[in-house]
Parts: sequence; structure tokens; C-alpha cells
Amino acid sequence: MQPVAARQSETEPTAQPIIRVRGLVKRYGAVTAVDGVDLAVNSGEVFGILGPNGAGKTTTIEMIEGLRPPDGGSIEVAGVDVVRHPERIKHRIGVQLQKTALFEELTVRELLGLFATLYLTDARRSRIDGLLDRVSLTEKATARVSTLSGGQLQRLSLAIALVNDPDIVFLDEPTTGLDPAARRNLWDIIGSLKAEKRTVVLTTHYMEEAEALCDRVAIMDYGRVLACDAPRRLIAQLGPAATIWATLDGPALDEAALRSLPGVTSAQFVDGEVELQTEDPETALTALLQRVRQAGGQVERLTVTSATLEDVFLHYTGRRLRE
Amino acid sequence: MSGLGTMTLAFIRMTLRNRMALFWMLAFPAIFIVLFGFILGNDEGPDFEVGVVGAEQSPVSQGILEQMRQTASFTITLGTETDERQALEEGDRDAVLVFRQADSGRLSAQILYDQTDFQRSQVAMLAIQQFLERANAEMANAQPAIDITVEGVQSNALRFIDFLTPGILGMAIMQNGVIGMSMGLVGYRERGILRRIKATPFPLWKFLVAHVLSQLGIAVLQAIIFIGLAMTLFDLEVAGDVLSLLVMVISGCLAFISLGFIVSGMTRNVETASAVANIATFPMMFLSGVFFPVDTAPSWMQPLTKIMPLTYLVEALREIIIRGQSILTTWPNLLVMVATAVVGLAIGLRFFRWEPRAV
Repeated sequence: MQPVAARQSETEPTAQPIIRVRGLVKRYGAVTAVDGVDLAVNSGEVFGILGPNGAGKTTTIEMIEGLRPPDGGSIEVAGVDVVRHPERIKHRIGVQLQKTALFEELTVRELLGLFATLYLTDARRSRIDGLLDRVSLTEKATARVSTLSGGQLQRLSLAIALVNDPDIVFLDEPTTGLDPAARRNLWDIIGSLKAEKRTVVLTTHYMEEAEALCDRVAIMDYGRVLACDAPRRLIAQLGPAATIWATLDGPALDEAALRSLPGVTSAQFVDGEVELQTEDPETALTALLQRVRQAGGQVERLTVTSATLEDVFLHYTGRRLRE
Repeated sequence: MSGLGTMTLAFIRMTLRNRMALFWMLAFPAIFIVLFGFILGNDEGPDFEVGVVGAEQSPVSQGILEQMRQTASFTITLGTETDERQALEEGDRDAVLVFRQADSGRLSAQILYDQTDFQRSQVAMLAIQQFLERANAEMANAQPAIDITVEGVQSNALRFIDFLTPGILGMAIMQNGVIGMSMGLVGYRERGILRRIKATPFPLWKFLVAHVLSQLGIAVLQAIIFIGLAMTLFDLEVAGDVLSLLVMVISGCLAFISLGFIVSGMTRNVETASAVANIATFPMMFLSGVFFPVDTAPSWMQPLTKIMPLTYLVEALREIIIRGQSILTTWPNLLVMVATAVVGLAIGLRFFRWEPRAV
């Protein structure tokens, strides 16, 4: 049944959720960090929570993991009421926290063995070394944790998240602060988790990460879920939207003139470069070229990018994710 | 192995691999013992230059003088108060003992000591005081005061290394307890390690128990190393039984872990925890008889020394190691340790947080 459910998730988001969150609320004093979040994660899918820092992603994921008690709402993971019985899901879920702080004086192998014991699972050397191999840390088995690089630490904490062979894996910003190569490496490992039919819930503020890894994405801002769907469907909802970047040479055109061009929804100068938002790239591009030529100038450099999750975020929040 | 055992061993392993912890808990106190042991002599015990004034006034003072003469540790010089004071000022004496007889016939004794060589004269004073106290005790029993046996005195003759080793052990147990617990726990909390443990099925209270067990292990290791060092290098003889010693080491460690637990509840980061733990332990280091006897402290300080738990731990360790007492006689000190542990735990629980302060 599981593979079927996983396949259905592409088209049928409500099928057989393994995680169901309703009306989740968390307050810190006067601040409402999570403000009525509803989520349903299907078995076997990679589910992303995308949002800027401070959107409430970590608070949400840690409440689902049973690490923080919510102030309101319900959480059900694999049939367990997490709000009431957080201890009952601990052996079934794998957890990677945002801050990767571990016992620095232990060696990589000792640390993984220790966590295997704490999870009451098989802590034999062969199994530990198998996990290290999986996250490409075999060479570092006898190195102290304090000597690991950022990417190695993230892979080690991922290995710890897998030490109890969990059905559901939670990864909180698994690639934040990593260089592109280290990020790719982690993406491959996360991809292999999906191949093993594990359910993966991850948070990220990298839209390309969400696009590359996730079957479905929830876009979060100010403690609320603004949209939740497959990345390409979220993008498709925006229509054939595009951004045009152009460097103009010759007589200056002001923003108002550019904004009045047919097909252009917004225009602004960024570092001397024109940035046009459009719902109809073809019309806008033609109009721009015409207008510039009429004014006696010419277009030096031209870039047209189609919509990404970044634009989806912009659409829902009026802000850029990267700001 | 069980989770608790594995976690405890992991903590001990981490402590032994942590250079800072190793230095403060093992190397630093050991250096104290070795340094003072060599500086203040070892084999013969310290030889004190003591001036005695007015001993001829009464049979009691003559008796005390006689007894002091028979002790190898003292080189006695008789003289007038003026001469002896001058000799003390010139550094030719470690201390001067002045007897005065009042009109009522009551004998009083005054000890003058060299403040510039504090450490040495403190020990001289301690030794002289022992004679006087003994004489006093004899008088209270209405016995002829002169009748003081030499043997009793020799058994009490204290070398500084004998005095120092239990003191240093007490100090190290205190630092291991207070600083080890507070900095460890605050670090684990603020760095998110407690939360990571919370995500496992291993209960957090067991995590804490494992930390405490590892600290008890370190305390026993401290006792073995410091006492072993003093035995090997300076022929320290442990007069008391190992079991009594173990009970005091462990109860003392628990008392100070408890205080460290309070600190961990009051502080938000390792830097503050370290500062508060040091502020808490520093006065105890000097006012609890680690380096010199509490009763030589100024009188206004006496009440302070009485409220410091370390005073009672060091006293008991000294009684057991040097004087061969057992837990049967030092039980009031054990009681103080247990009470400190319980009260500290109760206060600590009120302040304690598993989570770093939010936002």
C-alpha cells in the first residue's frame, strides 16, 4: 500500500497522511511564533517547509517532533497523539536539529555508537560503520567531533537521525551554511531516503533546495502557512510570469515610463539595471525593446528568468525570501 | 551496556579528553601539592624558629616549654619580649610565644607571628596552638598541667604537606562539583545538546544522573591521584580507613554538584556560569581551611568560615586522613554535606530549565 500512497501524493495531497497537524499555535510571551498551522504530510514523500528566518519553521517542526509543547492545536504522527504522548514517537522518528551541537570530545564512531545505545538499537561496530559509510564519514571514524567541518558535522547529525532506522526523518535546515558541493552531497543522501520509502520533512530557506528535493512545499511566513502544494504547481499558479533584467545604454528612461509599457506589472532600477516584472514576457519584451529604440538608446544586456518558488514567495508575501 | 552506563562512561571519557577540565580538576591541584610539598620541606617536617617569652612564670608555661623543646619541629629561643619581637621583625623567628601571668594568677599566652611569611607562620601557629589547647584541656580537668606526655605531641606534629593534601583534595572536589556541573549543564543546554537528547527515548533525568555519576568517578580519581602523589613524594600516611574517606569524598562531591546545579539554573551561558561558579568557589578556597587553619582567620571572618560547606568537608577529610578518625566521629560533617546536597537540589530545581531561554 505504501508505494501506492507515495505515488498518489503527487496528484492527491490528502491521501493517507502519516503526519497531520491542525491549528498549531505557539506563543513566546507576546510573540506568536506559530499561528494556526495546518499540515498534512503523506507517507513516503519529501515535504518541505519553506520560509525566511523567523517564519516559525523550526518551532513548527520541533513541536511535531514532540520537543516543544504547543499552546494550541493537535499533532498526530504515525497514529500517535504527539501533544499528549511525545515519548511514544521518539523511537520511530529520526531528528536532525537546526543547531548541530554534539559532544565534541568523542570520536565520530563513539558518538554514533552512543546515540545507538540511547535509542536502544543495535550499536554494534559493523552497523555503526555502515551508517558512517552511508554519509561518507568512514575516513573520519576515529576523528574527534570537534575537528569536523560544517558539512561533515551535518552529515554526522544526519547519520544520528538515521541511527534508529526511522520511518519518518525530520531535517531542520540540513544545508544551511554549507558550500555548494557539500549541499549537493546532502541532497543525494536525502534523495536516497526517499528511495527507501522513508517520509522526510525538512525546513529550508533555500528555494532551489525546496524545488530540487521536495514533492510538496508549505510556504511559511510570520507563523502561518500561506500555500502548500507541489513546487511546480505553486509556480504554475502564477501563470507564465517572468522577470526581465536589462542594462540600458543611451537616454535614461524613468521608472514610470517603463511601468506603463504593455505587459509590465512593476518596474524598478536596481544598481543601474532595470528590473521588470511581467505576466506576459513576450509582450513586455517587445514593448521594452521598441521603447528603448524609440528613445534612441539600445539594450546592452538582457536576461529573462521564468518564475521560481522565489516568485511564489514574493507573490504571497510581497517580499523576497532572500532579503 | 545500559544507556546509563554508556552515557556515564562517555562523560568520563569526555572529561579526561578535555584539556581545560583536566588542568583545573587534576593538574592544578596536583601542582599545588607538589610545589608546596617541596617548598615547605617534607622528610623532617617544617623546622620552626620559635621564641618563647616569660615561660618561667608558672609551672604550666614551663611544662609547655619543656614539651615544645622535645619536639623536633621547634627550635626554641628564650628571651625578653623586646628582643624576641625584634628577632621576629628581622625574620629570625617564625613565631613568638609570650606568656603573661595576670595578678589574678591566670596565665595567658599570646602568639606573635610574621605576617610577611604568612603561610609558614600559620603552620607554626597551628602547631603552637595545639600545645596550648592541650594544656588548657589538662587544666580544665584539674590535672597538674605540667604532666603532658611527649608521645601525644609527636602524633599531632603536623607537617604542612599532611595538612595541605586533604585541603587540596577538598578544594578539587568543590571545583569538580560546582564548576563541572554548572558549566557542563549550561553548555549542554545552550548548545542544544539537551534538546537532541530529548529527541531520543533516553530520559533526560538519566542523562543528568549519568553526569553526576561521572563527576563522582572524577572525584574518586582526584582522591586517588592527590593522596597517591603525597604518599609517593612526601611519605604521607593515611591514618584513617578508606571507606570513611570514600563516604566523605562522595558526599562532598554531591554537595558541591548540588551547588553547581543551582548555578546552572541561574545562568544563561557558559561564560556567566563559569564566572558565577568561580565567584562562589573562590572565597571558600581561602576561608575554609584549605591552605591554613580556619581558626587563624580574623575573628570577623569566623562566622563566614562556619557557613562554608567546604570548611566541613576539609575538616572531615583532615580528621580521617591525618588523625585516623572514621565516619563514626565525622558524621556531623557528613550530615552537613548531605544537607547541602538536599537543600541545593531543592533550590536548584526551582530555577532549573531544560530549555535555553526562548527568543
